[in-house]
Amino acid sequence: MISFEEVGIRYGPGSEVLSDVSFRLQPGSFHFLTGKSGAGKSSLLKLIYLAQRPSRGQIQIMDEEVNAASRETLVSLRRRVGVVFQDYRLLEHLSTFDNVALPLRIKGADEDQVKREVSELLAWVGLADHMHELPSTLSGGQKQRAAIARAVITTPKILLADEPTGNVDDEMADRLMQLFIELNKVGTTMVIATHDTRWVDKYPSPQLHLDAGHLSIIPQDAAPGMLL
Amino acid sequence: MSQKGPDFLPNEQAHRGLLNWVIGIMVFLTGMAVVSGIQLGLLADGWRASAAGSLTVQIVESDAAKRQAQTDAAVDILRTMPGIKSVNQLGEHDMAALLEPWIGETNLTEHLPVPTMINVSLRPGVSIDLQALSSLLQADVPAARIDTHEQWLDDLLSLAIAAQMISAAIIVMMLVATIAIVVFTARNSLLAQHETVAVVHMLGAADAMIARSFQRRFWSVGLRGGLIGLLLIALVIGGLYGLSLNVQSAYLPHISFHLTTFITLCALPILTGIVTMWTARATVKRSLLGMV
Repeated sequence: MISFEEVGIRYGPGSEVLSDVSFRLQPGSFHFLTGKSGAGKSSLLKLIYLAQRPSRGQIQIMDEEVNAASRETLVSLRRRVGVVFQDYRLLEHLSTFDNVALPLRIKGADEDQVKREVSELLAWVGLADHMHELPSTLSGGQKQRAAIARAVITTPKILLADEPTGNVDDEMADRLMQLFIELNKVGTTMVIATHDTRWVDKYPSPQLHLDAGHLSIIPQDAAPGMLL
Repeated sequence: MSQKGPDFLPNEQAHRGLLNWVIGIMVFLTGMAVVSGIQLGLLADGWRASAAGSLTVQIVESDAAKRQAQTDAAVDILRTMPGIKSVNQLGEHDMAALLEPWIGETNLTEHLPVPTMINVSLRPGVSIDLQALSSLLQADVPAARIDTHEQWLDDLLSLAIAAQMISAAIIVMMLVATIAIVVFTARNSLLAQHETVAVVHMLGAADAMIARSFQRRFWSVGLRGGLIGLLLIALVIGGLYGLSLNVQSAYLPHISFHLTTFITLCALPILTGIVTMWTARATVKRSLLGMV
Protein backbone atom coordinates (compact mmCIF):
# COMPACT_ATOMS: atom_id res chain seq x y z
CA MET A 1 0.00 0.00 0.00
CA ILE A 2 2.78 2.41 1.02
CA SER A 3 6.43 1.77 0.28
CA PHE A 4 9.42 3.98 1.04
CA GLU A 5 12.90 3.06 -0.21
CA GLU A 6 15.91 5.05 1.03
CA VAL A 7 13.83 8.21 1.11
CA GLY A 8 15.43 11.47 2.13
CA ILE A 9 14.04 14.97 2.21
CA ARG A 10 15.66 18.29 2.89
CA TYR A 11 14.36 21.84 2.76
CA GLY A 12 16.96 24.19 1.38
CA PRO A 13 20.67 23.72 1.96
CA GLY A 14 20.41 22.30 5.53
CA SER A 15 20.69 18.71 6.65
CA GLU A 16 18.04 16.15 5.78
CA VAL A 17 14.81 16.26 7.77
CA LEU A 18 14.24 12.62 6.89
CA SER A 19 17.15 10.39 6.08
CA ASP A 20 17.24 6.91 4.55
CA VAL A 21 13.64 6.17 5.47
CA SER A 22 12.54 2.74 4.30
CA PHE A 23 9.36 0.87 5.23
CA ARG A 24 6.38 -0.92 3.75
CA LEU A 25 2.82 -0.73 5.01
CA GLN A 26 0.45 -3.46 3.92
CA PRO A 27 -3.13 -2.65 2.88
CA GLY A 28 -5.37 -2.49 5.94
CA SER A 29 -2.50 -2.04 8.41
CA PHE A 30 -2.69 0.23 11.46
CA HIS A 31 0.40 2.10 12.59
CA PHE A 32 1.17 4.86 15.02
CA LEU A 33 3.76 7.38 13.89
CA THR A 34 5.65 8.46 16.98
CA GLY A 35 8.55 10.70 17.74
CA LYS A 36 9.38 13.95 19.44
CA SER A 37 8.39 17.29 18.04
CA GLY A 38 10.68 18.08 15.07
CA ALA A 39 11.56 14.44 14.52
CA GLY A 40 10.10 14.59 11.01
CA LYS A 41 6.56 13.20 11.54
CA SER A 42 4.87 15.98 9.55
CA SER A 43 7.41 15.67 6.72
CA LEU A 44 6.78 11.94 6.51
CA LEU A 45 3.02 12.51 6.41
CA LYS A 46 3.46 15.19 3.72
CA LEU A 47 5.27 12.67 1.55
CA ILE A 48 2.43 10.18 1.98
CA TYR A 49 -0.35 12.65 1.26
CA LEU A 50 1.64 13.87 -1.75
CA ALA A 51 2.18 17.47 -0.72
CA GLN A 52 5.92 17.05 -1.15
CA ARG A 53 8.26 15.13 -3.38
CA PRO A 54 11.27 13.40 -1.78
CA SER A 55 14.75 14.79 -2.39
CA ARG A 56 15.88 11.24 -2.99
CA GLY A 57 14.63 7.68 -2.82
CA GLN A 58 11.53 5.98 -4.14
CA ILE A 59 7.97 6.17 -2.87
CA GLN A 60 5.13 3.92 -3.96
CA ILE A 61 1.56 4.67 -2.94
CA MET A 62 -1.12 2.18 -3.94
CA ASP A 63 1.23 0.65 -6.52
CA GLU A 64 1.96 4.01 -8.15
CA GLU A 65 5.53 5.27 -8.37
CA VAL A 66 5.06 8.76 -6.93
CA ASN A 67 8.26 10.26 -8.37
CA ALA A 68 7.23 9.44 -11.93
CA ALA A 69 3.46 9.83 -11.54
CA SER A 70 1.56 12.22 -13.79
CA ARG A 71 -0.51 15.04 -12.29
CA GLU A 72 -3.68 13.11 -13.13
CA THR A 73 -2.39 10.06 -11.24
CA LEU A 74 -1.47 12.22 -8.24
CA VAL A 75 -5.01 13.67 -8.24
CA SER A 76 -6.46 10.18 -8.32
CA LEU A 77 -4.18 9.10 -5.44
CA ARG A 78 -5.04 12.15 -3.32
CA ARG A 79 -8.74 11.32 -3.60
CA ARG A 80 -8.00 7.99 -1.95
CA VAL A 81 -5.92 9.44 0.90
CA GLY A 82 -7.66 11.13 3.83
CA VAL A 83 -5.72 13.51 6.05
CA VAL A 84 -6.51 14.97 9.45
CA PHE A 85 -4.24 17.94 10.05
CA GLN A 86 -3.01 18.97 13.44
CA ASP A 87 -4.20 22.53 12.71
CA TYR A 88 -7.41 21.19 11.07
CA ARG A 89 -7.08 23.33 7.92
CA LEU A 90 -10.81 23.87 7.62
CA LEU A 91 -11.84 26.52 5.09
CA GLU A 92 -12.99 29.43 7.22
CA HIS A 93 -15.50 30.81 4.71
CA LEU A 94 -17.36 27.50 4.35
CA SER A 95 -19.82 26.07 6.87
CA THR A 96 -18.97 22.91 8.76
CA PHE A 97 -21.30 21.04 6.41
CA ASP A 98 -19.62 22.41 3.28
CA ASN A 99 -16.15 21.71 4.67
CA VAL A 100 -17.01 18.08 5.30
CA ALA A 101 -18.83 17.84 1.95
CA LEU A 102 -15.84 19.15 -0.01
CA PRO A 103 -14.10 15.80 -0.74
CA LEU A 104 -17.41 14.28 -1.90
CA ARG A 105 -18.15 17.25 -4.16
CA ILE A 106 -14.63 17.16 -5.56
CA LYS A 107 -15.18 13.49 -6.40
CA GLY A 108 -18.40 14.47 -8.18
CA ALA A 109 -20.97 13.01 -5.80
CA ASP A 110 -24.55 14.13 -6.35
CA GLU A 111 -26.07 16.51 -3.83
CA ASP A 112 -28.52 13.93 -2.42
CA GLN A 113 -25.61 11.66 -1.50
CA VAL A 114 -23.65 14.63 -0.13
CA LYS A 115 -26.54 15.74 2.07
CA ARG A 116 -27.25 12.25 3.36
CA GLU A 117 -23.68 11.17 4.09
CA VAL A 118 -22.43 14.46 5.51
CA SER A 119 -25.45 14.85 7.83
CA GLU A 120 -25.01 11.26 9.03
CA LEU A 121 -21.31 11.67 9.74
CA LEU A 122 -21.68 15.06 11.40
CA ALA A 123 -24.32 13.56 13.69
CA TRP A 124 -21.95 10.72 14.48
CA VAL A 125 -19.11 13.06 15.50
CA GLY A 126 -21.54 15.20 17.52
CA LEU A 127 -21.67 18.20 15.20
CA ALA A 128 -25.25 17.88 13.96
CA ASP A 129 -26.20 21.09 15.71
CA HIS A 130 -23.23 22.97 14.27
CA MET A 131 -23.37 21.93 10.63
CA HIS A 132 -24.34 25.39 9.38
CA GLU A 133 -21.84 27.24 11.52
CA LEU A 134 -18.53 28.59 10.30
CA PRO A 135 -15.38 26.98 11.69
CA SER A 136 -14.48 30.22 13.46
CA THR A 137 -17.43 29.67 15.81
CA LEU A 138 -16.40 26.11 16.71
CA SER A 139 -14.24 25.10 19.66
CA GLY A 140 -10.89 23.39 19.08
CA GLY A 141 -12.39 19.97 19.72
CA GLN A 142 -15.31 20.64 17.38
CA LYS A 143 -12.94 21.76 14.65
CA GLN A 144 -10.92 18.61 15.11
CA ARG A 145 -14.04 16.46 14.77
CA ALA A 146 -15.04 18.37 11.64
CA ALA A 147 -11.53 17.83 10.23
CA ILE A 148 -11.77 14.11 10.97
CA ALA A 149 -15.22 13.94 9.38
CA ARG A 150 -13.83 15.63 6.25
CA ALA A 151 -10.95 13.14 6.11
CA VAL A 152 -13.13 10.03 6.40
CA ILE A 153 -16.23 11.10 4.45
CA THR A 154 -15.04 9.37 1.27
CA THR A 155 -13.88 6.23 3.10
CA PRO A 156 -10.29 6.63 1.92
CA LYS A 157 -7.90 3.74 1.29
CA ILE A 158 -5.29 5.45 3.45
CA LEU A 159 -6.06 7.68 6.41
CA LEU A 160 -3.35 9.85 7.92
CA ALA A 161 -4.03 11.70 11.16
CA ASP A 162 -1.67 14.17 12.76
CA GLU A 163 -2.37 14.35 16.51
CA PRO A 164 -6.10 13.64 15.98
CA THR A 165 -6.88 13.38 19.70
CA GLY A 166 -4.91 16.44 20.72
CA ASN A 167 -7.81 18.82 21.31
CA VAL A 168 -10.67 16.60 22.40
CA ASP A 169 -11.59 15.15 25.78
CA ASP A 170 -10.82 11.52 26.55
CA GLU A 171 -14.35 10.35 25.83
CA MET A 172 -14.40 11.94 22.38
CA ALA A 173 -10.82 10.81 21.75
CA ASP A 174 -11.90 7.27 22.50
CA ARG A 175 -14.84 7.58 20.10
CA LEU A 176 -12.55 8.92 17.38
CA MET A 177 -10.08 6.08 17.91
CA GLN A 178 -13.01 3.67 17.65
CA LEU A 179 -13.94 5.34 14.36
CA PHE A 180 -10.38 4.86 13.09
CA ILE A 181 -10.46 1.21 14.16
CA GLU A 182 -13.80 0.68 12.40
CA LEU A 183 -12.37 2.26 9.23
CA ASN A 184 -9.29 0.07 9.59
CA LYS A 185 -11.50 -3.00 9.87
CA VAL A 186 -13.09 -2.23 6.52
CA GLY A 187 -9.63 -2.05 4.94
CA THR A 188 -8.42 1.51 5.41
CA THR A 189 -4.69 1.71 6.02
CA MET A 190 -4.16 3.91 9.08
CA VAL A 191 -1.18 6.00 10.11
CA ILE A 192 -1.79 8.06 13.24
CA ALA A 193 0.89 10.49 14.29
CA THR A 194 0.84 11.10 18.03
CA HIS A 195 3.11 11.96 20.89
CA ASP A 196 0.49 10.75 23.41
CA THR A 197 1.67 7.30 24.44
CA ARG A 198 -1.65 6.61 26.22
CA TRP A 199 -3.28 5.81 22.89
CA VAL A 200 -0.35 3.69 21.81
CA ASP A 201 -0.68 1.76 25.05
CA LYS A 202 -4.47 1.51 24.84
CA TYR A 203 -4.56 0.42 21.19
CA PRO A 204 -1.30 -1.47 20.83
CA SER A 205 -0.12 -1.36 17.24
CA PRO A 206 3.23 -1.24 15.43
CA GLN A 207 4.95 2.12 15.58
CA LEU A 208 6.89 3.98 12.96
CA HIS A 209 9.19 5.81 15.30
CA LEU A 210 11.15 8.80 14.10
CA ASP A 211 14.19 10.15 15.88
CA ALA A 212 15.98 13.10 14.27
CA GLY A 213 14.79 12.04 10.82
CA HIS A 214 15.74 8.37 11.17
CA LEU A 215 13.01 5.76 11.20
CA SER A 216 12.75 2.64 13.25
CA ILE A 217 9.85 0.21 13.56
CA ILE A 218 8.68 -0.80 17.05
CA PRO A 219 8.59 -3.65 17.79
CA GLN A 220 11.34 -4.54 15.33
CA ASP A 221 9.69 -7.84 14.48
CA ALA A 222 6.25 -6.31 14.10
CA ALA A 223 4.26 -7.79 11.30
CA PRO A 224 3.22 -4.93 9.07
CA GLY A 225 -0.38 -5.83 9.44
CA MET A 226 -3.57 -5.21 11.32
CA LEU A 227 -4.16 -3.81 14.73
CA LEU A 228 -2.34 -6.04 17.20
CA MET B 1 -21.80 19.75 -9.91
CA SER B 2 -19.80 16.69 -10.91
CA GLN B 3 -18.79 18.21 -14.22
CA LYS B 4 -17.98 21.66 -12.97
CA GLY B 5 -16.76 20.94 -9.45
CA PRO B 6 -17.58 22.81 -6.27
CA ASP B 7 -17.21 26.54 -5.95
CA PHE B 8 -14.93 26.74 -2.94
CA LEU B 9 -13.60 30.30 -3.21
CA PRO B 10 -14.78 33.03 -0.87
CA ASN B 11 -16.32 36.22 -2.19
CA GLU B 12 -13.86 39.06 -2.69
CA GLN B 13 -16.49 41.67 -3.43
CA ALA B 14 -14.27 44.69 -2.75
CA HIS B 15 -11.45 43.61 -5.05
CA ARG B 16 -13.82 42.53 -7.77
CA GLY B 17 -15.73 45.81 -7.62
CA LEU B 18 -12.52 47.71 -8.27
CA LEU B 19 -11.51 45.34 -11.05
CA ASN B 20 -14.95 45.74 -12.67
CA TRP B 21 -14.27 49.47 -13.03
CA VAL B 22 -10.69 49.05 -14.24
CA ILE B 23 -11.86 46.62 -16.93
CA GLY B 24 -14.82 48.90 -17.66
CA ILE B 25 -12.45 51.79 -18.42
CA MET B 26 -10.27 49.55 -20.59
CA VAL B 27 -13.36 48.40 -22.50
CA PHE B 28 -14.52 52.00 -22.88
CA LEU B 29 -11.18 53.05 -24.40
CA THR B 30 -11.07 49.93 -26.58
CA GLY B 31 -14.66 50.52 -27.67
CA MET B 32 -13.94 54.12 -28.64
CA ALA B 33 -10.98 52.92 -30.71
CA VAL B 34 -13.20 50.26 -32.30
CA VAL B 35 -15.88 52.84 -33.13
CA SER B 36 -13.27 55.20 -34.61
CA GLY B 37 -11.74 52.43 -36.70
CA ILE B 38 -15.05 51.15 -38.06
CA GLN B 39 -16.49 54.60 -38.71
CA LEU B 40 -13.30 55.72 -40.48
CA GLY B 41 -13.43 52.60 -42.62
CA LEU B 42 -17.04 53.27 -43.55
CA LEU B 43 -16.26 56.93 -44.27
CA ALA B 44 -13.35 55.92 -46.52
CA ASP B 45 -15.59 53.41 -48.33
CA GLY B 46 -18.10 56.21 -48.91
CA TRP B 47 -15.41 58.49 -50.29
CA ARG B 48 -14.14 55.75 -52.57
CA ALA B 49 -17.65 54.97 -53.84
CA SER B 50 -18.54 58.59 -54.51
CA ALA B 51 -15.20 59.36 -56.15
CA ALA B 52 -15.24 56.25 -58.29
CA GLY B 53 -18.53 57.26 -59.89
CA SER B 54 -17.72 60.86 -60.74
CA LEU B 55 -15.21 63.32 -62.19
CA THR B 56 -15.03 67.06 -62.57
CA VAL B 57 -14.16 69.02 -65.69
CA GLN B 58 -12.94 72.58 -65.11
CA ILE B 59 -12.85 75.21 -67.81
CA VAL B 60 -9.97 77.48 -66.90
CA GLU B 61 -10.32 80.47 -69.17
CA SER B 62 -9.99 84.12 -68.12
CA ASP B 63 -12.22 85.50 -70.89
CA ALA B 64 -15.82 85.07 -69.75
CA ALA B 65 -17.31 84.71 -73.24
CA LYS B 66 -14.77 82.13 -74.33
CA ARG B 67 -15.16 80.32 -71.01
CA GLN B 68 -18.92 80.01 -71.50
CA ALA B 69 -18.51 78.91 -75.14
CA GLN B 70 -16.02 76.23 -74.16
CA THR B 71 -18.22 75.17 -71.24
CA ASP B 72 -21.18 74.66 -73.57
CA ALA B 73 -19.00 72.71 -75.98
CA ALA B 74 -17.64 70.52 -73.20
CA VAL B 75 -21.14 69.78 -71.90
CA ASP B 76 -22.25 68.79 -75.41
CA ILE B 77 -19.26 66.50 -75.89
CA LEU B 78 -19.64 64.88 -72.50
CA ARG B 79 -23.36 64.22 -73.01
CA THR B 80 -22.65 62.27 -76.17
CA MET B 81 -20.12 59.99 -74.52
CA PRO B 82 -21.17 56.45 -73.58
CA GLY B 83 -21.05 55.50 -69.89
CA ILE B 84 -21.87 58.97 -68.65
CA LYS B 85 -24.98 59.18 -66.53
CA SER B 86 -25.33 62.92 -66.05
CA VAL B 87 -23.49 66.15 -66.80
CA ASN B 88 -24.22 69.21 -64.64
CA GLN B 89 -22.60 72.58 -64.85
CA LEU B 90 -22.36 74.30 -61.49
CA GLY B 91 -24.27 77.58 -61.61
CA GLU B 92 -23.05 80.92 -60.28
CA HIS B 93 -24.95 80.40 -57.05
CA ASP B 94 -23.22 77.02 -56.47
CA MET B 95 -19.80 78.50 -57.22
CA ALA B 96 -20.44 81.39 -54.83
CA ALA B 97 -21.41 78.88 -52.14
CA LEU B 98 -18.20 76.90 -52.72
CA LEU B 99 -16.08 80.03 -52.46
CA GLU B 100 -17.98 81.56 -49.56
CA PRO B 101 -15.81 80.05 -46.81
CA TRP B 102 -12.74 81.78 -48.32
CA ILE B 103 -14.01 85.07 -49.72
CA GLY B 104 -17.27 85.56 -47.83
CA GLU B 105 -20.64 86.59 -49.13
CA THR B 106 -19.81 88.92 -52.04
CA ASN B 107 -20.59 89.20 -55.70
CA LEU B 108 -16.85 89.11 -56.37
CA THR B 109 -17.28 86.00 -58.54
CA GLU B 110 -18.89 88.20 -61.19
CA HIS B 111 -15.60 90.09 -61.56
CA LEU B 112 -13.16 87.22 -61.00
CA PRO B 113 -12.17 84.76 -63.72
CA VAL B 114 -13.48 81.82 -61.72
CA PRO B 115 -13.27 78.55 -63.69
CA THR B 116 -16.54 76.90 -64.51
CA MET B 117 -17.01 73.43 -63.13
CA ILE B 118 -18.88 70.55 -64.68
CA ASN B 119 -19.81 67.59 -62.47
CA VAL B 120 -19.89 64.35 -64.42
CA SER B 121 -21.58 61.25 -62.95
CA LEU B 122 -20.69 57.88 -64.42
CA ARG B 123 -22.94 54.91 -64.78
CA PRO B 124 -22.26 52.24 -62.08
CA GLY B 125 -19.37 49.96 -63.00
CA VAL B 126 -18.22 52.14 -65.88
CA SER B 127 -14.68 53.43 -66.10
CA ILE B 128 -13.74 56.22 -68.47
CA ASP B 129 -10.57 56.27 -70.57
CA LEU B 130 -9.27 59.61 -69.32
CA GLN B 131 -6.63 59.84 -72.05
CA ALA B 132 -9.27 59.48 -74.75
CA LEU B 133 -11.62 61.93 -73.03
CA SER B 134 -8.83 64.46 -72.65
CA SER B 135 -7.90 64.16 -76.33
CA LEU B 136 -11.53 64.54 -77.34
CA LEU B 137 -11.99 67.66 -75.26
CA GLN B 138 -8.68 69.27 -76.22
CA ALA B 139 -9.80 69.71 -79.84
CA ASP B 140 -12.80 71.94 -79.03
CA VAL B 141 -12.19 72.85 -75.40
CA PRO B 142 -8.50 73.66 -74.98
CA ALA B 143 -9.16 75.18 -71.52
CA ALA B 144 -10.56 71.91 -70.10
CA ARG B 145 -8.89 70.29 -67.09
CA ILE B 146 -10.11 66.90 -65.93
CA ASP B 147 -10.06 66.13 -62.19
CA THR B 148 -10.81 62.53 -61.19
CA HIS B 149 -10.48 63.39 -57.47
CA GLU B 150 -7.75 60.77 -57.19
CA GLN B 151 -5.19 63.16 -55.74
CA TRP B 152 -7.23 64.42 -52.80
CA LEU B 153 -8.92 61.06 -52.35
CA ASP B 154 -5.53 59.30 -52.05
CA ASP B 155 -4.46 61.80 -49.40
CA LEU B 156 -7.71 61.38 -47.49
CA LEU B 157 -7.57 57.60 -47.76
CA SER B 158 -3.97 57.57 -46.53
CA LEU B 159 -5.04 59.68 -43.57
CA ALA B 160 -8.02 57.41 -42.87
CA ILE B 161 -5.86 54.27 -43.09
CA ALA B 162 -3.26 55.81 -40.77
CA ALA B 163 -6.00 56.68 -38.28
CA GLN B 164 -7.42 53.16 -38.57
CA MET B 165 -3.99 51.68 -37.90
CA ILE B 166 -3.64 53.87 -34.83
CA SER B 167 -7.07 52.63 -33.67
CA ALA B 168 -5.97 49.03 -34.24
CA ALA B 169 -2.74 49.65 -32.31
CA ILE B 170 -4.75 51.15 -29.43
CA ILE B 171 -7.06 48.11 -29.42
CA VAL B 172 -4.06 45.73 -29.31
CA MET B 173 -2.44 47.76 -26.52
CA MET B 174 -5.70 47.78 -24.54
CA LEU B 175 -6.03 44.02 -25.01
CA VAL B 176 -2.46 43.45 -23.82
CA ALA B 177 -2.99 45.81 -20.87
CA THR B 178 -6.27 44.08 -19.93
CA ILE B 179 -4.61 40.66 -20.10
CA ALA B 180 -1.71 41.96 -17.96
CA ILE B 181 -4.16 43.34 -15.36
CA VAL B 182 -6.07 40.06 -15.26
CA VAL B 183 -2.85 38.01 -14.97
CA PHE B 184 -1.70 40.24 -12.11
CA THR B 185 -5.09 40.08 -10.37
CA ALA B 186 -5.45 36.33 -10.87
CA ARG B 187 -2.00 35.76 -9.37
CA ASN B 188 -2.86 37.99 -6.42
CA SER B 189 -6.17 36.23 -6.00
CA LEU B 190 -4.40 32.86 -6.08
CA LEU B 191 -1.90 34.13 -3.52
CA ALA B 192 -4.69 35.44 -1.29
CA GLN B 193 -6.46 32.07 -1.55
CA HIS B 194 -3.30 30.01 -1.20
CA GLU B 195 -4.52 28.09 1.87
CA THR B 196 -7.90 27.35 0.30
CA VAL B 197 -6.27 26.19 -2.92
CA ALA B 198 -3.72 24.09 -1.02
CA VAL B 199 -6.51 22.34 0.92
CA VAL B 200 -8.69 21.53 -2.09
CA HIS B 201 -5.57 20.47 -4.00
CA MET B 202 -4.74 18.10 -1.16
CA LEU B 203 -8.33 16.81 -1.15
CA GLY B 204 -7.91 15.76 -4.77
CA ALA B 205 -9.15 18.71 -6.82
CA ALA B 206 -7.58 18.63 -10.28
CA ASP B 207 -5.86 21.74 -11.64
CA ALA B 208 -8.69 22.28 -14.12
CA MET B 209 -11.29 22.13 -11.33
CA ILE B 210 -9.41 24.73 -9.26
CA ALA B 211 -8.90 26.90 -12.35
CA ARG B 212 -12.64 26.69 -13.11
CA SER B 213 -13.46 28.19 -9.73
CA PHE B 214 -11.28 31.19 -10.55
CA GLN B 215 -12.43 31.49 -14.14
CA ARG B 216 -16.07 31.64 -13.00
CA ARG B 217 -15.17 34.68 -10.89
CA PHE B 218 -13.23 36.32 -13.68
CA TRP B 219 -15.91 35.67 -16.32
CA SER B 220 -18.33 37.55 -14.10
CA VAL B 221 -15.79 40.36 -13.56
CA GLY B 222 -15.06 40.61 -17.30
CA LEU B 223 -18.73 40.65 -18.22
CA ARG B 224 -19.58 43.33 -15.65
CA GLY B 225 -16.55 45.40 -16.66
CA GLY B 226 -17.59 45.04 -20.28
CA LEU B 227 -21.11 46.24 -19.50
CA ILE B 228 -19.73 49.24 -17.58
CA GLY B 229 -17.50 50.05 -20.56
CA LEU B 230 -20.42 49.68 -22.95
CA LEU B 231 -22.53 52.01 -20.84
CA LEU B 232 -19.76 54.63 -20.86
CA ILE B 233 -19.40 54.28 -24.64
CA ALA B 234 -23.17 54.70 -25.09
CA LEU B 235 -23.13 57.84 -22.95
CA VAL B 236 -20.20 59.38 -24.84
CA ILE B 237 -21.49 58.49 -28.31
CA GLY B 238 -24.99 59.60 -27.39
CA GLY B 239 -23.60 62.88 -26.12
CA LEU B 240 -21.49 63.44 -29.25
CA TYR B 241 -24.44 62.61 -31.48
CA GLY B 242 -26.61 65.05 -29.57
CA LEU B 243 -23.99 67.78 -29.94
CA SER B 244 -23.53 67.07 -33.65
CA LEU B 245 -27.23 67.69 -34.26
CA ASN B 246 -26.72 71.30 -33.20
CA VAL B 247 -23.74 71.87 -35.52
CA GLN B 248 -24.45 72.78 -39.12
CA SER B 249 -21.25 72.64 -41.12
CA ALA B 250 -20.27 71.48 -44.54
CA TYR B 251 -16.99 70.21 -43.11
CA LEU B 252 -18.54 67.77 -40.61
CA PRO B 253 -19.75 64.52 -42.09
CA HIS B 254 -23.17 63.40 -40.94
CA ILE B 255 -22.70 61.10 -37.93
CA SER B 256 -24.46 57.80 -38.36
CA PHE B 257 -23.61 54.38 -37.04
CA HIS B 258 -23.45 51.29 -39.15
CA LEU B 259 -24.91 48.01 -37.92
CA THR B 260 -21.35 46.58 -37.76
CA THR B 261 -20.47 49.19 -35.15
CA PHE B 262 -23.46 48.31 -32.99
CA ILE B 263 -22.86 44.56 -33.26
CA THR B 264 -19.16 44.96 -32.41
CA LEU B 265 -19.94 47.19 -29.43
CA CYS B 266 -22.63 44.84 -28.13
CA ALA B 267 -20.19 41.91 -28.43
CA LEU B 268 -17.53 43.73 -26.37
CA PRO B 269 -18.79 42.68 -22.89
CA ILE B 270 -18.98 39.02 -23.95
CA LEU B 271 -15.57 39.16 -25.63
CA THR B 272 -14.16 40.82 -22.52
CA GLY B 273 -15.68 38.12 -20.34
CA ILE B 274 -14.13 35.41 -22.52
CA VAL B 275 -10.68 37.06 -22.62
CA THR B 276 -10.76 37.65 -18.85
CA MET B 277 -11.95 34.14 -18.10
CA TRP B 278 -9.37 32.38 -20.28
CA THR B 279 -6.55 34.60 -19.10
CA ALA B 280 -7.41 33.81 -15.47
CA ARG B 281 -7.71 30.12 -16.27
CA ALA B 282 -4.32 29.99 -18.00
CA THR B 283 -2.68 32.00 -15.20
CA VAL B 284 -4.09 29.80 -12.45
CA LYS B 285 -3.26 26.56 -14.24
CA ARG B 286 0.27 27.74 -14.86
CA SER B 287 0.70 28.74 -11.22
CA LEU B 288 -0.69 25.41 -9.99
CA LEU B 289 2.11 23.60 -11.81
CA GLY B 290 4.32 24.92 -9.01
CA MET B 291 2.45 22.62 -6.60
CA VAL B 292 3.22 18.88 -6.49
